[in-house]
Amino acid sequence: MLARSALGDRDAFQRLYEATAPRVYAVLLSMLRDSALAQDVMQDAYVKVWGQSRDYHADRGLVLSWIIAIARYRALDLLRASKRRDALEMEAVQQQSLTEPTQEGFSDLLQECLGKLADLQRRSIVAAFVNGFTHEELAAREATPVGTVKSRIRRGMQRLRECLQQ
Amino acid sequence: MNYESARLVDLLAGEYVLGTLRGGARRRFERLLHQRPDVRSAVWRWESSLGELNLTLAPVSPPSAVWSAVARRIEPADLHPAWWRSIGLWRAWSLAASTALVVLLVVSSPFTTSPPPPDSAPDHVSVIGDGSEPLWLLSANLETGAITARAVNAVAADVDKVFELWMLPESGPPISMGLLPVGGESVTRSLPAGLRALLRQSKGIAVSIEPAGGSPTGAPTGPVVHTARVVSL
Repeated sequence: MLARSALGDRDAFQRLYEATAPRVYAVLLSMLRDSALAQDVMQDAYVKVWGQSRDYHADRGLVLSWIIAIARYRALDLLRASKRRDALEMEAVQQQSLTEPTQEGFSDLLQECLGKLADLQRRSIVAAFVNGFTHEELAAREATPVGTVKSRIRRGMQRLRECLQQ
Repeated sequence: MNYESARLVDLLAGEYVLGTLRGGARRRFERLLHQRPDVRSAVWRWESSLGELNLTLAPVSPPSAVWSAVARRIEPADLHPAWWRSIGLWRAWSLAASTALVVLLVVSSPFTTSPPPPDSAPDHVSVIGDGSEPLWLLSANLETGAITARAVNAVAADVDKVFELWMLPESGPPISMGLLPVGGESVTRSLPAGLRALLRQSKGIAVSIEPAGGSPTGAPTGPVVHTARVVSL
């Protein structure tokens, strides 16, 4: 479908959209917690996918992963550009439970490597990735200095890298 | 910061994908990302690994208004750079292709490999390229069925890999058009009559990377690395 989309086939692109949009929208809702904003980012992301479909190649991973990455970076830009979530959002952030990975949906290797991390390392990395939390937001949630969160994530990512490369 | 350290680059890539690399550090890393293939590869590896976490989220259907807005924004379709549509390019290449020395290579293909009639000026052409660099030039005369692929900049995919050409018919799965030459070589084949009509109406062509000898299944098994349109002259 992507190959056909790259040739300007709008029907193929619509089928690609229908097959992937629910996954992409779920990611954006999880990060942005604002359906109107998530829909705006969806639009931008898919327009970009349409424009860049010729640039996709298999080294980028699955087509769905590539589309989600485009959407995530756009969402991250928005989150970071707004500097900080307003007070109401921060309250919601603090009340929101951190996403805990389930065994369903990802590989044994990632499951195993995440399992080797300390609980807080794993929760912080997953929350940063899935919920788009910044160091400051994670620190506020846990009433922990920002520096502690930064080094926790850095150490966790080092361990994750070593495990994933084995 | 020592961006030559593979370990550091990989960790920065991880935090970039995670979203925790921010401000000036993120901007500097993005500049690096545009300049260095190893940095891009590191980012793609993390995107693939961490991206699995996204699959733990339950899918949510977006409102139909989102697709409507996307559809409005991609209309009219204007994906391809102007050179792609340049009539001058097609004409010049048509002339070059029709007089080029044809080297017949026998490769696994559903098509016959009997030499085409000598006087078969192309009436359909395609440039398969990467950005502004053409990799293969494809010319076909759909009256005679002669189809020639010439590698102008394409080099071998890998030691035990080949490039396979696929037609993308208006409907139905891709159809193999055989293996593509590399290193300046050309290959000419004779396209059966039934497939000429399909190519005439096709959505375009695609190139995939396959094991030596071509796809073992008759369908693309490797990554599709290029797509192109077939233009009638």
